[in-house]
Amino acid sequence: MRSSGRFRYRSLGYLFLGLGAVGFVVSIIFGTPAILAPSFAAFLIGVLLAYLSLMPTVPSQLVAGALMPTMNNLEALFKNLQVNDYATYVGPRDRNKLTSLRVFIPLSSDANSKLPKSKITDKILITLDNRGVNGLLLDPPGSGLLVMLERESGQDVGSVELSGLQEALDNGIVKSLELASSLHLTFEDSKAHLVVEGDALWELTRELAEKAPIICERVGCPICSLVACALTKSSHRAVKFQGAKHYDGKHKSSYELIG
Amino acid sequence: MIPRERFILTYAIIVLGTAVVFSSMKLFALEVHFAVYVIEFLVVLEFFGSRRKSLSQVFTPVAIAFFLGFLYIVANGVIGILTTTH
Repeated sequence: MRSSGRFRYRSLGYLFLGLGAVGFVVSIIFGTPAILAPSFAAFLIGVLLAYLSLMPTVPSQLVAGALMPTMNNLEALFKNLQVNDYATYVGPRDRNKLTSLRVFIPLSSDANSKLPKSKITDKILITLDNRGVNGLLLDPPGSGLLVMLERESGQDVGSVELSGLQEALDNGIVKSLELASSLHLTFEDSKAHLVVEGDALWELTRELAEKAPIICERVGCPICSLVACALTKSSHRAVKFQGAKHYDGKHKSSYELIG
Repeated sequence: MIPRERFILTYAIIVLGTAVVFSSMKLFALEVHFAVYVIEFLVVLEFFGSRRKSLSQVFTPVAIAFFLGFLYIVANGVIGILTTTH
């Protein structure tokens, strides 16, 4: 596990706390009050650094402020394209000629009939598995976080068995990225259920749930999407998003493994 | 260096400098040290926080805790004075 900024603050904080405590004890045992003042100062600095390690490095409001305009644009696009079905996450396979994880967002048949098909390129609008379902094939909202998770925790999710995915995600999301305080992923036949609490990006999630319901409920917020990407990569199967609810700092989402 | 790191570094330099000055002046009363450190914290926080609202938000709980400690010291001093005069 690589050392993050917060880990650095915590270590430095404990070092100062230790120095302060040792100086305090030495000044009492040897009767040297001259050490007392610097020891007390070191102790206070240690407390501040340890406190700082508990705070997120980037405030949640900053992330929300940076991403919401883009998300609002995407939401408006989905609304105009009448997206009303759940998205499907597909991994790179020879069969679908994809080189990286993608999310397939099906368009309603009404929307398909209204679209000027001559202007649509196959880079954006594709047919999934030749079943005549048209939709958008995009980078998943959580794909960037998945890359960060793999880099920070030093593990490739693709090599993790589904049975060990809960632990891998707990290591990555809770312990390495410190994105959430707890994560529970349970499996029931071909379905998976996720509960995430203590979201560090809650301000973004809250605004997404309020202003971009199609993205949040049909495609997934960045954290729900990150787990969908991890499920796709770990199971080597397509994963259909089955909806999500966000309230009181909690994410509750469901997925179905298909294909 | 991000603002909160600059804040901590500035405060650490000021506090450790004050501690050295107090030691050289043979001022060893812990209450005086704490009161001065709290005042320094509030001044440095005001200086940095006036330009970054999020920084002052992050350190507001610490400022409140320090201020409560400061109030305790003052109250202790006042009670001490009152009990010795009566």
